Amino acid sequence: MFNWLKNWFYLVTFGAFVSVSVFFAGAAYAEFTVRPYVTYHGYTGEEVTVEFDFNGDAVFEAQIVNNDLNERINVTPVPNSERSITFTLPRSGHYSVWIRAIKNGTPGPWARSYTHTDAQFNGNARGWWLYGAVAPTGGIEIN
Amino acid sequence: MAVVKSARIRFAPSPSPDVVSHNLYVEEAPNPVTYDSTHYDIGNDRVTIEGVEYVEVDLSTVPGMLTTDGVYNIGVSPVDDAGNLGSMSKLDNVALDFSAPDAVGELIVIRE
Repeated sequence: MFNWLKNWFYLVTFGAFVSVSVFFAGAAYAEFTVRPYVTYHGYTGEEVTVEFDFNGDAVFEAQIVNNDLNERINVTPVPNSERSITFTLPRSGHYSVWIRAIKNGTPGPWARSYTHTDAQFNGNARGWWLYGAVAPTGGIEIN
Repeated sequence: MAVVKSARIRFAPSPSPDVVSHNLYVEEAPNPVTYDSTHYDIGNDRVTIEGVEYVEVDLSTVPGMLTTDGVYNIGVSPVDDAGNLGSMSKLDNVALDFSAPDAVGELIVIRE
């Protein structure tokens, strides 16, 4: 039992989550030279898709964390067959994405999008954030 | 008492789920309208026209709204519950006419 748990946590801790990357429809990103993070800018209400890799069978739990309000939002549990989550940001602010594997009811550690060893940008290990802004209205008509 | 003609503006709402109101920005043309322009809270009242939802407001009902006739550059920005502003949608060279004409002169009955 101990050996099994040790082996499983090895997979989860040391590379089962190979990368967590993001596709933010219509987003622009800003890369800051002082801090090595990437911030994806997009609009609240837009769909965001995050993909991840995992070696092995498990179900996955995902949370969207509003870091301005320290508010966690659970995403629908992700089955083993899926390696992506899609969600919309509910309000303006800075967000990170947390994902962990659950095997036989036992959760592994969280992979966090702002952790350089857990996330990637353009194929390179790099932590990232999401920033959701208020989307503009449609064009103005007057009569 | 003179009745001021209404001027209604309409626009598709922001898709952001936390919008609670809108600011209307007004600048006398040809000056460009910006976030520093005079602005008014025009609320978030919705109407549905042919199955499409819009935000619509009668400018003559907006508290404190300017009443000087003229040509203006206007902009609308959504506001969320934290006070964050969205990007501005703009419309230039809008003729606004709020002033009623002067009353007619004295009425005289002409008997034939």
